[in-house]
Amino acid sequence: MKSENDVFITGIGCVTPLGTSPNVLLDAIRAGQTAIKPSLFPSEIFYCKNNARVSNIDVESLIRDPKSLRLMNRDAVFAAAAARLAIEDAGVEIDKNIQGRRVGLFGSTGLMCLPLEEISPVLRASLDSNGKLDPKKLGNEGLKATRPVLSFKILSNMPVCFVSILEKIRGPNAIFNPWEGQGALAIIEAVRAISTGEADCALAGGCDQKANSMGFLSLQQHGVFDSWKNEGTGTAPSEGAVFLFLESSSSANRRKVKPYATIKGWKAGTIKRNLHSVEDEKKVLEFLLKSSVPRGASIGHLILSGDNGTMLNKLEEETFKGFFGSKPEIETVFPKHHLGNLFAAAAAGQLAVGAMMTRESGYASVANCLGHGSTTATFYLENC
Amino acid sequence: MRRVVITGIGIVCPVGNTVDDSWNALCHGVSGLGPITLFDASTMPVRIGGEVKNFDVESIKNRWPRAESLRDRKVFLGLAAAQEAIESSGCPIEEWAKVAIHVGMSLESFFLEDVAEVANEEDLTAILAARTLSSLGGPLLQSPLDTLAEFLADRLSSSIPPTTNCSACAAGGQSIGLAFRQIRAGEIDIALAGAADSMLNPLGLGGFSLLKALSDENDDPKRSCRPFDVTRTGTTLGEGASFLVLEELGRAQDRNAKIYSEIVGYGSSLDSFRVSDPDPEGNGASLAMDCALKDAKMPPQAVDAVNAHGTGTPKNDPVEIMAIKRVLGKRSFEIPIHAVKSMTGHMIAASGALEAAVSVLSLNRNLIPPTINLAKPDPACDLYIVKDFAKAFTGNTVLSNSFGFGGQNAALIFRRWIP
Repeated sequence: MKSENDVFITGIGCVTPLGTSPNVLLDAIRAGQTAIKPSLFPSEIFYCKNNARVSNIDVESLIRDPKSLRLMNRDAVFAAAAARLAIEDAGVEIDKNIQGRRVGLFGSTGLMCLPLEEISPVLRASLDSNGKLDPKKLGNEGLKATRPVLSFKILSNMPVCFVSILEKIRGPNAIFNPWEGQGALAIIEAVRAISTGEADCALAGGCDQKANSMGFLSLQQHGVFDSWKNEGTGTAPSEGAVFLFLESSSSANRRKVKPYATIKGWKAGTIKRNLHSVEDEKKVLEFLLKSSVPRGASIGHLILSGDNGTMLNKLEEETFKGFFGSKPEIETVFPKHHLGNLFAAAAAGQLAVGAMMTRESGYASVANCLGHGSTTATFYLENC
Repeated sequence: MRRVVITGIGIVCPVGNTVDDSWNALCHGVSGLGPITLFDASTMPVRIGGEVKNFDVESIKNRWPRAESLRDRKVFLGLAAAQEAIESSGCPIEEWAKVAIHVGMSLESFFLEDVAEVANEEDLTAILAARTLSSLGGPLLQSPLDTLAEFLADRLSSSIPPTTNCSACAAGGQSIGLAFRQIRAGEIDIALAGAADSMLNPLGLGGFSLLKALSDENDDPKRSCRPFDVTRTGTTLGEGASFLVLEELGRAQDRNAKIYSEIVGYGSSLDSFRVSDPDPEGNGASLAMDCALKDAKMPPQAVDAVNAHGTGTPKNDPVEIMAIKRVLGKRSFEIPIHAVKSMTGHMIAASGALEAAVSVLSLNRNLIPPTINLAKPDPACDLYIVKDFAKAFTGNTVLSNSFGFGGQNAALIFRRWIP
């Protein structure tokens, strides 16, 4: 797809295991630093032994209304902090220089990590003498062991709703779930809302928290660690949030801001993993590239999505290098090698890295979003 | 600009397991609410809900062979409704490869009974992991929200990326709205859009009970949900699914498809107020309706009926009425308004999809189902609410509202199809 009205990336906010500064993040990626470490929790049972955690960052200090924290899950805190940073980076004051009703919000959230600290007391109070869940005891005693805020911590839309409340965003919106491809679709919906004039600007991004034992358990059950079992390598779960502040060219020009990049092309497609057909997958990736990148574009950067040398990683790299040629002037990076896998937030992370590189070098970037789930998407970012 | 029409409908809800059964029951004011039987809720503060009755999961598994391993009720409800929508569209199965699938869902199903077995262990997660991962194919602790969308996309061999929208009670409306926009923009020609949900499980019912959002009139379930009635005490949870087939007009005409109605407008907004309460000024709700009208290029005077969100909670109903008055002005006093949740309960993510389907049927079958249990209208809800009996309807447009927990809102506008 190509946008009729240019959509600029004018702000980036990230809370990642490599920090909250986009520039530091880019420097760390270029320097080959990685936040991936052996997991601190017992990991014998998991095929994957590594993760990347957000630590040494006072994320809560970034939340505008600290009273909200008691209602928020860890991923909601990440989302609210990253959204704040993106808005600050864009230099926007909602309801001062941009109306909240003209700001969209398109986000993605991840597979639920059951908050065991909230659920365990409920379950313990609800067991029968054989240690099985007794619905009668759940009603009589279990519910008394928790707080009403439980619902706010388990509903999948809540992290992004907190962003709307804290930032006074009231425009068009949608929240998708749970993998990287859905995160890419959220960004595409934001671009659509701006390019059709439904919104002047939008926050688009995602949040996730899979660097914990419950996250590992979910991921292993859903086959995300299969490559660790089969190939001895694979993705390292991470946590954090990334939001992009997207803006129509007219709004950005009016505010006289210097954008990171413009999202000039995009295309999403599906990969049928169950077919195990490398050739089919390659064709899909090539189709997405042809559909999103103009002929003869001067590409400076490829931001690829695969991680840690898996078959998928190799397929993606091979396809992209085949498409663009193995030119030494094209810089190729794999953010997940450094950040770990942010899952629902990964697509926004890929675009953030591409946008920063494009602004720095002046050359276009192609950011690929290919993760678990069937959806994959490619974005073409140009210098403004 | 390309026009978009509805060519297929599927409904599974507490008053019927097909479109015709559901429509007949809704038009006759039948309540689908009753005591909860899906699990032992006898000690819960709320023990009533709108269950889908006589729902044959096994027949769904037989029709959808890969569904055998699933145990998430809402996925089965969704498959049944999607199947009916697909069949009713009359579109040959080989033409579904380019269908966009948009599915609304809310709360992930987490199978608490599996977690509970190890709840007394010190390191709960490690033990849980050991239990569930120890053998291949062990029970899945949770059912990801994208299960239904991925299942449908796989079965229909669709190459268009499916979306799983988790915007709570606005998810169904948003899914249909996004599909409409994609077709109108020329990105696709056909879409299957809707939602499925079931909160009638210990975690869902318990969580909502704690929030005090539910009516606890356990002794009188059929009257428990009373939208716009001054004695209302809360909503009642329901379950179900509904899907629409949306199609570009020319494509539908080329294959002589039955056209139920046209979809002409969609708007979404955020309350940006509190996660637990609607904005008491109704600004988010009115913004969604405003946006839908602008999208449809329609003046407020052109709206002929409103299918309200109408939950029956003390806070929601007057706020919605205030917002309708603000947006439609004088017109709001002249047109019928109704709330099917009085009969189905609140199907959460699926409610917007069901209400969209009912709006389409109102235009197609010239009737507006009643709002039951409305004995003493709330003076703050002083518009013309259709009550007790279905009302003949010859209007041309219906506005359908969905307002979500967390502050997400969606409004859809459907127009009578006149060949």
